[in-house]
Amino acid sequence: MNKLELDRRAFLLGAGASLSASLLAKPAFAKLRNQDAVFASGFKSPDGNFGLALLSEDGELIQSYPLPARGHGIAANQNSNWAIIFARRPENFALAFDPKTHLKPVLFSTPADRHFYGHGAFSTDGRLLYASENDFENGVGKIGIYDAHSNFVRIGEFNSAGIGPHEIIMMPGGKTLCVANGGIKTHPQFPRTKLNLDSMRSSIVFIDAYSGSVIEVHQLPDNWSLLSLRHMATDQKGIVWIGGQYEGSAFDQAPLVAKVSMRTSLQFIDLPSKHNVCFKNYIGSVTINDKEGLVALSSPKGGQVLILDSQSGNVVKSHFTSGVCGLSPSQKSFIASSERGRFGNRNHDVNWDNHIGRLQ
Amino acid sequence: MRITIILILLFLSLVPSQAQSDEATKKVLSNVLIEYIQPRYLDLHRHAQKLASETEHLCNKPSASNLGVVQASFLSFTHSWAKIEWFRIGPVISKNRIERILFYPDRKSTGLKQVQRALALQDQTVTSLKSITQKSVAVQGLGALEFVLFGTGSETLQTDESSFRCSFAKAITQNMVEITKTLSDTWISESIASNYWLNPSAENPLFRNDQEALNVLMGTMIHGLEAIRDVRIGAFLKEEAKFDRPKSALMWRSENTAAMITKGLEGLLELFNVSAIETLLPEENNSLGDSTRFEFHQAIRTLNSLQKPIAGILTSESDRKQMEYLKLSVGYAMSRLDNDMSQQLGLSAGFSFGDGD
Repeated sequence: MNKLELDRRAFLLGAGASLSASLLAKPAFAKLRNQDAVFASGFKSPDGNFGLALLSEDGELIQSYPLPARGHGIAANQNSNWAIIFARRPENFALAFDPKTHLKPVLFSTPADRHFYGHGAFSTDGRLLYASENDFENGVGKIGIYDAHSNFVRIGEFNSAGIGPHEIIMMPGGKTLCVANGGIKTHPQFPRTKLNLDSMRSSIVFIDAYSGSVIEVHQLPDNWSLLSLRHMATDQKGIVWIGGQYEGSAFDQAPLVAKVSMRTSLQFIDLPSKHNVCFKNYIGSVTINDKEGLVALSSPKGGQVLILDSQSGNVVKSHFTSGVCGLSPSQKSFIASSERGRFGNRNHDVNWDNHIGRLQ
Repeated sequence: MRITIILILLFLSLVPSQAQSDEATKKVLSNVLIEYIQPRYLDLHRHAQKLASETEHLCNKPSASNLGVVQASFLSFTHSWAKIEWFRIGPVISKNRIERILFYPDRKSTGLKQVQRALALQDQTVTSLKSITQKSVAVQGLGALEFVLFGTGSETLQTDESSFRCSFAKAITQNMVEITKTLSDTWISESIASNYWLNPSAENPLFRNDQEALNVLMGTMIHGLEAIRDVRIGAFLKEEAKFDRPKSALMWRSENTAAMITKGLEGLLELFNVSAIETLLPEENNSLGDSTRFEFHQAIRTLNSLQKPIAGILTSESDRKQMEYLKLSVGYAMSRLDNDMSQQLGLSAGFSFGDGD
């Protein structure tokens, strides 16, 4: 075990001690139980520290937890007490927290030769947690499998059938995972450097959640090989809406929005140019409000939230605010957050990370 | 009904971003175009032409002195590139031009292996401009050319007339001429790219308003510094000396590592200075420009004593400490730009900056 690994483990132990002192206070616990909806998001505070916040539907801060570094995506499941926030790449920790009870948070990590890519999904019964990971020495994407009933011990992995798996979602029915392989190779030695832009190839892959066998691979046409498919959401019919990030010139107007379903080819959504240009070639979050038949896509670079009709793909509305990215379906439509501190209709003195998880 | 529901997104302004540019910001953008982008790409193209011409001459009349001329010209071209390489907007991002000029980092030496294989097998497809552009980006640019000119077997360039190795070098230099011509031509005055750069507007894919333009400009400087610190220095300087990797350093064969870092910092400082972005600061904070410059100068001064082979730097305790200090200095310059100046200008605090999450 090298020093880097020793340092990392020591750091995680220290963070765990700090977390155990931050269990939910009783007033906060009561407040959580009285909410129609509870949201979670990672944040950076003005002193440079990172944390996880639980918020009400109107953006009120209910509870926060410290994190060892920046958190990113949230995984939650109705059949599990646990929700998870994953570290942003190239960190290797995740925090399991329980917003409903007094269970002690669990900080767990990938093996030393893997790191998280920031997203994951539960099995339908809440027993297993699937996480997008990087096997960085071999430059291949993995789906790590963790046992939610045993302190999130890692019990296996399978290939993501691509490079740089990012968002991962469980499809309706609970048998199939959908993985967005962003296609970009990274290595912790060069934390934020994209190592293979000359040969990158993104894909959407459907994987059997039980066996890990690849069911379908949907790739982009050659002329859009620099498009990285990273974020997505599925509706109840299994139509997956995808938001991409383009690695080519800002002068190009890449098609950033697509949809796909099993046994149906990936199809770009032809957005009006005036809306597409406002994404600045970068979509940071995608979510669906099934009840209202709406899809929302956000761009922190362009400050745009674009709302589409999920049936027709037509634009319903666009909204602008600086640094907007986090999105989640709310009771009545969507809630959004910005890196400048806006969450719902409230301002906070923090920078919100790119994603919001809805916990109830 | 649906529209009513959507209005619940109360926090979102219904007013699109302002599509306008004030005179002060216009001046900053114009400064950058006229005093940095255009002259830097023109300089790069001229260096590429000189390198290609001298390489052709070497191939026709191989000699030790002609090889020395080409090697010196190679270094000059790389330094010209280092001064603009962190400006990653426009055509340089298209068609893998950045990787075709310089494929780095190459963690598993994939590029080196391809170059060595091409040399060993005398692969004729790397000896013409037309065919080399169809090959892996790793054999098309400066990494490959450095090995050809400075690596094992490069001494044969002094004697072998019309050698395969020299033809390989010639094809790479011609490729550099073509790419840099595109870069230079794209940014000439009145071009589409220049107009995009100078005129933020609602339809402009580059920037819709001043704030986006300044964000891109500030992001260029911050990300450039970050890459110099984490990728260029971080490639060889590890937490402990025993983990250092001198052969992962950029252009260690030509003893050009420290010079490339220096020129990279000088290029970013030049961008900062010519932009005069500090003139946009509130009057009470206009000393931030000087404090930022101070951090740049500290880093460049530190490098002045480190212009030597990287392996020697890493085995000298005092030089290695200087290199560690350099890393800190670059971080201080980043902090001045990211934490202080960006905040004062009301720009993104670097939290997301849209880097692939």
